[in-house]
Formats: sequence, C-alpha cells, structure tokens
Amino acid sequence: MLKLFYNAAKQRSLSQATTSASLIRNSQRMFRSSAQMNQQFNVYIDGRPVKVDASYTIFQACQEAGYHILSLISYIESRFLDSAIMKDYQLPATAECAQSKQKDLQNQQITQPLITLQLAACATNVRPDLKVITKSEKTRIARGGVMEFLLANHPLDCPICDQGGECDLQDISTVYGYQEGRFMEYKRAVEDKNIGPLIKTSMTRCIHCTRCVRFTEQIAGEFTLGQVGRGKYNEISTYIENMVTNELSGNVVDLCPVGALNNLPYSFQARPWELKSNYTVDVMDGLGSNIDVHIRGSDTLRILPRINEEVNEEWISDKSRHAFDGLRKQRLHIPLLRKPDGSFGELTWEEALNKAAEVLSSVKGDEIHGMIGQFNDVESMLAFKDLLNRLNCDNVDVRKNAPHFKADFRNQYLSNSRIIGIDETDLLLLVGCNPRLEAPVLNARIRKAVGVNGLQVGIIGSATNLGYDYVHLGNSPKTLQELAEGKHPYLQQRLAKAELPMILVSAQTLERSDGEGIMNYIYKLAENTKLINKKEKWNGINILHTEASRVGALDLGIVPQTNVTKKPKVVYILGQDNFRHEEIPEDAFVIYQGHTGDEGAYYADLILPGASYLEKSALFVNTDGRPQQSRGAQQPPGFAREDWMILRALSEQLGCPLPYDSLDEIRTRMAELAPHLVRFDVIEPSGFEELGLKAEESKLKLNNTALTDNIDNFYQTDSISRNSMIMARCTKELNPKKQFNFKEHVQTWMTH
Amino acid sequence: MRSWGQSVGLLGPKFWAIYRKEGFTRALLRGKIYKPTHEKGGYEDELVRLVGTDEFGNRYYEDFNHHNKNTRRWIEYADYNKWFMTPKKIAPGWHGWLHYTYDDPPKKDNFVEPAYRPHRTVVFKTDHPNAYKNPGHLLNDNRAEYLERTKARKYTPWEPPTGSEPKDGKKIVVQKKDPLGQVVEELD
Repeated sequence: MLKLFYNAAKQRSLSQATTSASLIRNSQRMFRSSAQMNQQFNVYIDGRPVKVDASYTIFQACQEAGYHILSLISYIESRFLDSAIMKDYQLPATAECAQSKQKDLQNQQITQPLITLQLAACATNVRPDLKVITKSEKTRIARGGVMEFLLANHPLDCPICDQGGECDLQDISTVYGYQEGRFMEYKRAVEDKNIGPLIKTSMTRCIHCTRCVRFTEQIAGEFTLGQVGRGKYNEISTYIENMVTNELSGNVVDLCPVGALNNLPYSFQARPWELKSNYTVDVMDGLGSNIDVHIRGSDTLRILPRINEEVNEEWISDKSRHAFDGLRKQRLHIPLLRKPDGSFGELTWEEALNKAAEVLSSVKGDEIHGMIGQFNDVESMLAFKDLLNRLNCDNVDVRKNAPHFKADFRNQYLSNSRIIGIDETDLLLLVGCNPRLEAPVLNARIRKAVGVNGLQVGIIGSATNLGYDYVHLGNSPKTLQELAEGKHPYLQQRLAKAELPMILVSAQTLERSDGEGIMNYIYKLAENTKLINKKEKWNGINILHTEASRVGALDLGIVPQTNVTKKPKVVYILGQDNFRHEEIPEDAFVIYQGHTGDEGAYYADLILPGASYLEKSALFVNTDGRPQQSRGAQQPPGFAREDWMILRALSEQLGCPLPYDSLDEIRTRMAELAPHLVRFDVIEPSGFEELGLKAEESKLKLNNTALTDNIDNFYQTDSISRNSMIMARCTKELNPKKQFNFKEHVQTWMTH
Repeated sequence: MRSWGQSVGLLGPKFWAIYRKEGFTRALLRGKIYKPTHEKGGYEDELVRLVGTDEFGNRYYEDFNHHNKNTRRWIEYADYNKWFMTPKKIAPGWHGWLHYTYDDPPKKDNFVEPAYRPHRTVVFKTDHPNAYKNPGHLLNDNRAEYLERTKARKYTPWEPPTGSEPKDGKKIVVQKKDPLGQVVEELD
C-alpha cells in the first residue's frame, strides 16, 4: 500500500515543474493551469474500464463512462467540484459494487473473495479496481425505495403545480419509482413562507435538498435561508420572517428541483411545453449575460439564464430576469408629431420620415446633435453614425457627461483581463465600483474567487455589503493618488507583491468631472505594480461598463466630441433616456427614436417607434469586448420597426441612401470598420499596452469629493425597468428608502 | 342469440322482468337502443343485476359477463334523462365500489363514513344564477375589464401628454409656489 502511494507521489511530482520556487508559484495559482492531477486508476462500470481521478465519486465515474444516473445531484455537482464543499442529497440511484477487499501490490491473484455493497454513488469515492454494476434487480429495488421515501411527504398535486413538466422529481419517479405508492399514512404539511416579491413558496412540496440554502450562502453570499427543526419537522425557513434581498435571488427558482420555490410573476401563466425558447443576450448590464427567452404566441412569459462559463456562468440577475414586463408598458407603437398645443398627433411612416428628412435637411451639418442610448445594438448605431456623417455631422455621442475615452486602442475602454480574469487574479482593487449593484453576476464570480482561490479584495469607494470580506482603503480618489505615488502602505504590503493584480473601475465613476484624472492615476499605478504583466500576458486594468451599447459604440469609433461648441438646432435621440436636461436646448427640434415612452419622449417633437432588445436580431458587445448575437423573440408592437431599418428608410428620404439593405450587408459594412465585431463570441486580444495605457502628467487632477455608490436603486435604472411593475414592487419591498430617488423632480411634482 | 331489437324488446319477457322489479318507466328507458352496449343490460340476453342505489338516487349495476372486465360496474345517474343534466355526486361508499377498490357494496357494517365528509360537500350551482362563469363568458359582469387586461398583456401604448395638463410643454417644468401663488423655485 505504501509503495502504491509512493508511486503516485512520484508520478505527481514528475508531472509538475520540479524546482521548488516554481512549485510554490504554481500552488499559489494552480487554477490557471488545469486542475491538480491526483492518482489515476481504472474502475469498471458494467465491465467497461474507465480511467478516473482518485477524487471522483462513483457518480462521476458513471458519468465519465457515459452512464447518466438521473438524479437530484446532476445539476450542481460540477459547480462545487473543486471547492470540495459538496454536500448533496442522497441520490435515489445507488450502485451495486463488487470490490476486491484486498489485492496485493504486485498485481497478483486476488487473495480474498469479492464482497458486494449497496452504495450511494454520489457520496462514495472510487477505489482502485472497483467494479460497479449499475443494472441489477437489487439496485432497482434500492432506488425505488429511496424514491418512496422522497415521495412519502411530497404532495401529489402535480396537475396544479407550476413545476409540472420540468420537475426533477417527476422525471426520477418516472424512471426509478414503483408503479404504486404504498404510503397510506397522513402526509405532513408545512406553512408557506413569504420570502420576497419574486419567489413564490409552497413549502409542503419541499424535499430538503438544501440547494436554495447552499446557493444563497455560498454563491450569493447572503445568510437568510436555512434549515429549522429536525426529522419530520425539518423546514427550509428564514427562522425569523425575512426576505431574500439578494440581487441573484431569482436563481433559486431554477435550482429548486421541485415546485417548492416558484417564479412568482410567472406562476400559473403557462406550462413548459407551450413555450418556445429563444436564445439571446441580455442588455440590462454591461455583462451581456446569455439568456433564454420563453415565449408563447407573441407573449414573452419568462427569461431564464443560459450557461456560458466565460460570461455569466449559469446565473442572471433579478433585473435581467424580471424587468422585461416593462416592455408591455408605455410602448411607442406609432409615429407621433407634437402639435403647437403640446399634444401629440399620430402619423403614418411616410409622413413621419418626410417630416424628419425635412427638418434634418433644413439645417447645416454642425447644427445637428446625435445622442445614443444604452440599449442600442451595433447595427443601429452604425447606421446612425453613417447617416449623420453623410449630413456632414460628426457630433454623435453617448451622453455629454460620459467618460472621455480615447478610442484609439481597445484596451483603453475594455475590461482587459476579461470576466474570467477574476478566476485568475490574486488581488482585486475596486475603484468607485459596487459590483453587487452594477453587475450582480460578476459579484458572484468575485465571491467564488474569494472563497476558492483566496482572492484579496481592496476597495476605494463606499464600503457596502458585498457578500465577502475586503479591505476598505478609503472613500475618496485621494487614496488612489496615495497608492499611485507609493505613499499608501497597501502598495508595499499587498499590491506590489501580487503576481496578477486587477483593478476594476466603474464606467459611471469615470463620469465624474475628475474621471480622466482617476484613469490617469490608475495608469500611473500600473507603473509601480504588475497590473500590466507582460511575462504572463496579463493586463489588469478593467473598466466595468453598465450600458450594453457603450463598448459597441466605442468599437465603431463613436467617441464623445468635447470640442463642439455650437448650439444644436436639431437633436436626434436614439433611445437615450438618462441624459441631463441642459444637454437639449429648449428651442431645438427633437427627434426621438426608441421603444418606450420614458424621459426622452417628453422632450420629443417627432417620435419614431423602434424595437426593444427582445424584438430585434442584432449585435451587442459586452464589457470585455465580446460581440454576441441576439435573436428577436417577438415582433415589435404596432407600427414599430427595427432601428437600423428606420434609419435606412430615412436616408432614402434625405437623398443619401445608405449602402445596405439587409442584415448581412450591414454586417459587411461593420466588418470594414471593425472586423472583430463579426467574429461572434470571440474576444479580439488588444495589445499596445505601452501606447494606450500611459499616464499623462497634465491630466493628474482629482477632486476631493467622496466616491459614492453609482446606483441608488438597483431595480429601476433605465427606461425598461422603470416601467416594470415587478421591479416597482421589488423597489417598494426591498429598497423602500430609495423608492423615488431616481426621479426626484417627478416626486416633487406629484406632491405639488 | 343477442341482437339489437330483442335485448329489451318492448312488452317482451325482459321488459316485464324489469317492469316487475323497477317499474314501467324504467323498463321503457332501459330498452332504449341508443344506450351504450354495456348499459343496455348485459352482454348476454339476461337481466343485469341492480346492485343498489345510494341516497342521491343513483343506480349501480354490475355485469360479470361483459367482455371488458374493467367496465363491468357502472352507474346510472338519477337525472339521466332530464333536460339539464348535472353529474350528481357519487356517495363515498359507492365510489370505492365503483372504482374496484372493494367488492362489497357499502352497508352500515362494512363502511364508515369519513368524518370530513360534511365539510367538503360541494353545492352544485350549474344553471343557477350565481353559478361560476369564466372571465371571458358573455354573461360575466367583468368581461370588459377582462378583455382590457388581455389586451394590456400584449402592450399598452404610451400616453402622450395632452395640451390641457399643466405639466405639458417642451420640457417637464416644475414650479414650486407659495400660498399666494408666487413662484418660489423652478426645477426642471
């Protein structure tokens, strides 16, 4: 036995680097290379030999062999594999194992007879030369027995249960269960809990797999759910009545194998077999989470996450999941023109385009101002830019107060170490960035890195509850200045020692008047640290964008024009709602093209109805520069049309037709400007660190004001979520203090 | 031999047999040829045994000669031939017998009424003015509201400002006034 272990250790040491220094370095960031190799040996699944790692369970070995045990474990298993905190439900599938009790070391004859055991496959590790029999009468009976225990207290209300059709327990009982139930005793009943406006509970159905508890504790970082009572009286509960206030709380609905936790807004709406799924991309934050939009007829009924390990893993935030009902409210569905008395009259498309062309051609090119909103796709922005350029107008931007990036190199505005860089980094510095509110899914990834890789997090900005431990360095950008100038002890103690440090700045923080200064101090900080580690091909300077259109706009070269001083006579707003009032002159003619009648529409003289993100097949670029294709799940309402088509039609009226008529042709044009945009799901690596990320001494100016939270109310930040009833309910129940902060003047008006 | 007309022939021997046991009307009704085969009185040409009746007047039959043994027991509802038929509830004891849970028809000594029975009795309101009507029903009072909600499920258009409201104008201009009507502060 000892010899065996010695051999294994020898094997292991050979497979890795031999010098002690590199061994230490490797052990510090083992996650960068592949997982640590343990002892490898053969096990026999139904007589078939499979080579497995010593850390595997029998369940995993079966999966490796291609035999999938349908069980409650399969969902979360792979996620917790490396963190070794897996404690899962005893699966109903057990494997019958025939194992040689002892086998001598020189591969000689078996000295003792075989013994046969019934083992829980998910809870038992593999052993050398283990023989697993998956199909036998004894195993079948054992599985049925576990199934009977699971169903003992589970109500038989499948016909009225929302999980019906996508229930793990239904599937398992179909495959493994007995034909008839023998349980004639009374079933227990459990009181339902109120845990918030997004999750509906029917706790009688709960089978205590504790996935929800483990999700909230280990992934979301919130300790509200837990188990109360013992034996028959065991309940999943919040102990004292409490709500799950986390921004990722909607995910426990997906995790729940039975109908105990349900999607409340979706409850009793549909059955899974009525739904049609549409794979598309989310735009509620800069992350570009991959989503699955479920529709029935023309109704969008729910949004589920799609697995993309490099973007959102398998989670989405509550806003991404539930805000889509804002698209049913206050829609712009027909072209409108403001009359002299302030009211709006309806137009046909022909009249509307003629009016727009008349207005745009009546002024000079430099008297037009184009504004681009946060939900715009790359196609519409490209058509917008092309159209205004043909009118000799170059004054196109994404908001006046947006950060003034130089878009010469891509690394000046991207998250350079990418989202997966969080798994690799060993020190993360957040500057004016609250990832919990700005990108909750990213925050879950940071929390995972803190727990699994021992990531150190430092914060310059407001010290909020992020769900993990961090070092709070200071409240103002002055701390950043001290760090960059080498005066702060954190630099010598931690930051300078880190191999692959990473800095994360919110794009909204860079909207401050000293945004340029903050960025330059970060470049200066990179000179003293390994933020840009050429040896490891590592660039740790990251900007977290919160607007889905921003990176696409910068990739197309739509840069904020700071030099334009002439007062615009025509303002063309492409779906922008979060602007400042002084950006639009009072006497200007305003054309608003968008999908929702929010802030921007009240300023408009002419409204052209466009399509929302669920209604167009287009391209979005996320914060780490990954172009992703979205696919329209439904039709735009009424007379609304896709945005780039409207601009194409308008160009015809203006007498300067844009040279593309189809999606393929506009993407060909896109490839002329930025070829990487048409390589979907591929991040184009950006070099030129010396040229792009260089501090300029003249711009090292900072304000003394504190870095505050950029988002007051996570649930209502944009035109879609402001119109969403579910998000309004969330605000009321989960964030009551911030209920009206996002629109203070409207509140004043209402009380007046 | 079994044939359509002869199984319960009018004024034939079987008719009189039923007449003697169940009365004239029943004898006529059971001769109806459009009844399902198994209800007509057995696979063979003999009279099917009436096993019993419950308190609602429903009649329970059993025929062992029937070709399909799972349909050998059946019920005739008390209001079988009325204009507006309502499926009267089956008595709990007979329910078990009808669904082959046990073979003996319920009597006082072999069946105990469950304690919860009276509480769960449903009042059938079919054809009653207070009967339930689904939301889209023509006679439902809230039908218009329901149709509006159905439309709103797709989308509701933006309500643009009309000229009459004070907030209208080029911009949303909010004025704070003191009690005398003087503009104190102007916010936008």
